[in-house]
Amino acid sequence: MARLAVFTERYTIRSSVELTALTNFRLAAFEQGHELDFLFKNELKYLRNYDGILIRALTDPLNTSYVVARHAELLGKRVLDHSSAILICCDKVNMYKHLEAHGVPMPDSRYLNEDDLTPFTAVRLFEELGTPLVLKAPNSSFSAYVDRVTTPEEFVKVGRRFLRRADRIVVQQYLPSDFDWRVITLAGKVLAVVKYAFAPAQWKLMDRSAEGEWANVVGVDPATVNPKLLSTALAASNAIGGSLYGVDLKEIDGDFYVIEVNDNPTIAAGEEDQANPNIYAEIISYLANGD
Amino acid sequence: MKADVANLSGDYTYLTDGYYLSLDAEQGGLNVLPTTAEALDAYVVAIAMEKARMAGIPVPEHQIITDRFPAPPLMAYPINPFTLTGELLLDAAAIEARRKGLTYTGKYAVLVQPLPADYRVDMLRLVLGRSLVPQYEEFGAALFELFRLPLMRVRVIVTPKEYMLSAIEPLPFGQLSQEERALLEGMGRWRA
Repeated sequence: MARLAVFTERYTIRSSVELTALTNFRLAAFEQGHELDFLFKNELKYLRNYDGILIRALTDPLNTSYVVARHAELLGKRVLDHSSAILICCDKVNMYKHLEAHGVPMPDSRYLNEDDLTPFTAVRLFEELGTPLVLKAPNSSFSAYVDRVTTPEEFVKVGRRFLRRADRIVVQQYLPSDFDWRVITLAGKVLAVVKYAFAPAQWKLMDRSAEGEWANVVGVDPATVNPKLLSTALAASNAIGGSLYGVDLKEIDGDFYVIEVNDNPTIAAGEEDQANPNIYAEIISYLANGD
Repeated sequence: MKADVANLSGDYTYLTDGYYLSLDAEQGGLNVLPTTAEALDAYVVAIAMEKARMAGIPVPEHQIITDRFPAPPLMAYPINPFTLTGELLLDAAAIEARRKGLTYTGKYAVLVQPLPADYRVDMLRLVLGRSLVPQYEEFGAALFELFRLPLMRVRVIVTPKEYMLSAIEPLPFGQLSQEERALLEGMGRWRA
C-alpha cells in the first residue's frame, strides 16, 4: 500500500469536470489499495509523509508546483510532473529546442532576442517561413502569449510586448489544419488520445492558456488511430523526458507535426478519459509502483 | 569542480539573457555552471532551503504559508511567477502592510523565515565561491560546491553560533568591484 497525495490549488480547479477527475484519481487509488490525500500549498511540510505526489495545479518553475516537484525529488519520492518536465515545457524556447535536437517534426522555428526584433529581420522571416508568422512568448503565465502577425510592423509590436517579461521569443511558420490531436503520454506509453474541433476564429483559445475550456473534445481509442500519430507523439515526449505529457499535434496530408508538448496536461472527467477510462489507474500505478 | 564553461552573467533569473546563456550551453552539450535547473534550485528559496539542509548547510527555520504569518521579525520570499524578491518584515505592522502584496491577496504562497533572537543579516558576495571577507571562506566554498553559481549574492542570517543561508540572489557581472574581478582573473580557466 502506498500513501499518495494530489497537490492542487483551489484557483486551478476551474470546472466541475476537473474536480470530478480528481475524485476519479482518488477512486483509482482506493481500488488499488492505496491511500490518497489532497494537499494544498500551506500544507507542504507534510510532503514527506507521502510516497508519491501528483501535481494538478498550474505549473511554472517559479510557482509552488515546481517547489513541490523538486522537493519531492530531493526526498527521493515519485512525482508527476517531473521538475524537468515543468522546467522544459513551461519555456517554449527550451521545449522546441529539445524537439529540434531530437529531429521531431514541428513547425520551422527561430528564437529571437531584442536585437533581432527589427523590420529587417521580419522581412527575412516572412520570406523564410511564410505569412502569417506565429509569435510565441516563452511562458504561458503571460496573459496573451501567442499571436499571429502578417506585417513587419505587427511583428515588431507584438515581439516587443512579448519581450517585456522574457529575453527571448519563438517565431514559427503557421500551419493551418482542420483539427488537432492531443496525445497524453506517461513514461514512454500512450495513455489517451483526444481529438478536438478547431475553431478558426478562436484558434488562440486552443492553446494552453485556455486549457479546460476546449469545446468538442472527442476521446479516441488509441488502437484505432494512425500509428504515425502515436509514434510522433512518443518521439516528442521522449525528447523531453519520462514524465506525463500532453502532446499537441497537427495532421497535414497524413503527416503529423508537433505543435507543443505540455507538462501537466488537463485530465477532465468525460473528456480526456472518454475513450481511455484507465488513465486514472495508470497514473496512480506509476506513482505507487513506478510502472 | 568539473565544468566546460562558467556562465559569468551573474544574473541567472528564469527567462532572462543570463538564463538563456546557460540553456544555450546545455543544448550545445556543454557542462555549464550553472545549468538552468541549478539556477532555479538556487533562486527559488524553498528549494534552496531543502537542498542546503540535506547537504548540511545551516538554514533558518522556515515554512510555506498563504495567510498565517508567524511572529516577526521575519524574512518573506514570495513564490510566484512575477517576483522572487525577499522582504524583511520587522514588526506586526510591516506584516499587515505587506500581507496582501506578498501573497497577491492569498493567491500565491510565501516562504517565511522567522528570525532568531540576536541575529544580523549579512549580504555576502561570492565569486566562484570566494569572497573578500576571510571569515566567509568555508561557508562560501560550501555554497559554491552545492549550488554551482559562479556569481552569487547571498543573504546570510548570522547568529552568535553560525551562518545560516537565507537566500541566493543575482550578482550581475557588471556590479563586481575591481577586487572581485581580480578574484576571477586569478582563475582564468573559469572564463566563459
